Amino acid sequence: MDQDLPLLDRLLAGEETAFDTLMSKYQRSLCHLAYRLVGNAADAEDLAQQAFVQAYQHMGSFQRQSSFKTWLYRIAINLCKNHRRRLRPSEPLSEEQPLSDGRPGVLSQLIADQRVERLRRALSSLPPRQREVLVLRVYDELPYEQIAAIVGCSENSAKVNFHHAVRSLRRQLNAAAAVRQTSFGELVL
Amino acid sequence: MRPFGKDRRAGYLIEYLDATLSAPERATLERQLQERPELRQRLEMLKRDFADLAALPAALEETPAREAQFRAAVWRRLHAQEEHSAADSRRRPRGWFWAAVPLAAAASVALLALLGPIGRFGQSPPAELVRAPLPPSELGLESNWTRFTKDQLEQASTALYAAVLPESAQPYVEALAPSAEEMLLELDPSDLDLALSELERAGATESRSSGSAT
Repeated sequence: MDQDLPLLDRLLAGEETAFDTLMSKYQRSLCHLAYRLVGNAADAEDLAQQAFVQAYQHMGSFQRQSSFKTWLYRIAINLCKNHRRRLRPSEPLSEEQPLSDGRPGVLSQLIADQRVERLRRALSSLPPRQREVLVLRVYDELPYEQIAAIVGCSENSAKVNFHHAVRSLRRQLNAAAAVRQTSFGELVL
Repeated sequence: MRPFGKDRRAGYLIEYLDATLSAPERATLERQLQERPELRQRLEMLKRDFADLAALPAALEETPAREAQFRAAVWRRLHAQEEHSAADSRRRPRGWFWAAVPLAAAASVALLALLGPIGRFGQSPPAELVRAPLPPSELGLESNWTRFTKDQLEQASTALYAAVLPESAQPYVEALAPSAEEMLLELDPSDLDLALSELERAGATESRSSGSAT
């Protein structure tokens, strides 16, 4: 049973603090999901807020055929998708640097890591569906059944997209490594 | 069917790391991994990809204060929208619902033009149907709204007609069912709940007003 249903019932009965509890539970994962999909922290936060606003406004029409989390993620994914569609087709995602938490060391080391940066770029260049499935699988560790319900495809299609995404990332990383080797060779020559 | 394509081995390695291989497949692969160093190398690369992906830093600062600000922002937006829709509902229903009317009107006019002086469609359309259509992009309509059953679409279409269009337009609207379904199909999946909710709300409003009229 969906653990959020009692909260939804309380919310529908007029207890607004139940929605605060739901937000506390999902805001972090929703912000991260949106960030992985749109590549911009400010936009991600805005989209996550929009997702909660839509969920609240349409709570009455939630059919409970899926879990609340699936429904909420579906709203967020579609908002992100629409957001990306509004960008010009040729415009790449603005993969900004993550916000520093003020502590030197771990984050700055990661940011400096070229491999991480290449991976970030590769991730942002994946087709939307592959990126959605990969993000939901790797970061949210959702089962394929739930991923399929969120992105609106079959379970097998979710698996296929995950495979394509991983292999596409690997190909891009291999290509980047080859370019680096070539450049090095030219420099040596 | 396994989603491996041509490179079956890479597929198995991905499923191995993804922990979705069956026990016998896992045992077979582990035997092969012991025997084949190049396979182990590929697995190591994939492992590193997975680890790097998981380690990509998050963008958003996470502090209790910031999370409270986030929730406060959601409530502000909700209250602002409630005020806006309260003011708006005094004038007219809002959202995509009315945006659909110009499309229906345009389709109706086109249909009437096609049918010409045949039967009841030979009459002029009601004035309220003749509006300048807007391009779908300006209406915020998106494609790929295909997850819903035909029954759901038909139900939504019927409610759309009943709730949005004036009674005088009903004879014309009956002929629009295929177009309206296509129009509904143009909506984004995220709009299903919005659409159904708007339909329910419009239906409830209509019931209330017809109840109070009687």
